[in-house]
Amino acid sequence: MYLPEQVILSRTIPAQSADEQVEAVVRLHARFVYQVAYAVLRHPQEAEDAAQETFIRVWKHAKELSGVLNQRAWLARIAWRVAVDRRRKHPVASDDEDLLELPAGGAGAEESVIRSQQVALLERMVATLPRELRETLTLSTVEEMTSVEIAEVLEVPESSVRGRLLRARQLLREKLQVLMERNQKDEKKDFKAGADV
Amino acid sequence: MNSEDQKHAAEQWLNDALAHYGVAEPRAGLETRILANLDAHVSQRRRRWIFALAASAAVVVVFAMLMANVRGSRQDAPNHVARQTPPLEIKSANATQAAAIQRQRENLQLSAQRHATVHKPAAFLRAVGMKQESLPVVRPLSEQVAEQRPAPSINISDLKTIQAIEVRELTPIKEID
Repeated sequence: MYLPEQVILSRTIPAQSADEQVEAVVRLHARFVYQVAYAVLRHPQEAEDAAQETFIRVWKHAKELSGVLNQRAWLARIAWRVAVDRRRKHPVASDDEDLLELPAGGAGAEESVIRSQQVALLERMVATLPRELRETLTLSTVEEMTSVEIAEVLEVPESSVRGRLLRARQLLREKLQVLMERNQKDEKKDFKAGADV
Repeated sequence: MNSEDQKHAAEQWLNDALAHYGVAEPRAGLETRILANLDAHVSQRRRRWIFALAASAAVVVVFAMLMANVRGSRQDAPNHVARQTPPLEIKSANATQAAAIQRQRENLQLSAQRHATVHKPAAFLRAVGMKQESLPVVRPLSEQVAEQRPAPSINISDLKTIQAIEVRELTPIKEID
């Protein structure tokens, strides 16, 4: 039989004061909240500030904490809203799609640089997606976040979450294919130019 | 590279990128920092509450004092004045005045006793040995005057004998050296 986390906690842990409950939640879910905020803001310091603000809100609603069945989803929703508000206040400038350049593959010491370039490119591509697809895909990248929790955060049915994820991946794949074709053409041109010289 | 290979390569690249996209490790000690921030927030909030309570209590006390003063000055002004301790001169004057009032009261009581004795006609007449019928009857004064002085009779012929009076301007009086 499936029991939500809060129910299990309430059965195993004796009654605590509100401050103690908040402290326990911080210790248990701080990293998760940070990751949700980071998925939206893509900036470590901003994500930490958002996590702080999230837990301040949690502390303000500490009385409701004992009645929450799924704490992770509840926290994710608060963190999501906080992060979206912060991004609205300090919007990140998105680059033009034409400036995108596919990083070349590599191994060894250059791998971390290549990976960061890869993630940066993905960030730019995700930024070009429609809002609902972008939000769903962003939340799906957060570690251990299930489609049920994403559905709770976005307040949509779980089937919509799945559909949006498929659509988002499809769009990203198409963009990637266009970029790959452009890269191949550029390589051929360079090769021809080198041969002429 | 054909389209199928390209699609496959794109899929692989995307999976790889998405796997790293969500990986974000916070700096060490995130929980401690969050808890410290919460503590600071809570204590700041408490300080604000205490300050707000103190300020509102002060406002209420000042308001109550003002209201009490205003009400006191409106309603209790005569009592307040009466309750004031009079100066020494007024105290001595009051003492003499009180003594005078006391004397006056005693005099009034005495005169009332006398008046009571004098104005008991039956007892007085008995004491004197007279009867009430032998005393003159009290009548209105107009009747008595009418009896003593008969009304003057005026004839019209007498009125005719009255000569006219000449009205002349007053001549200034000469100063006497």
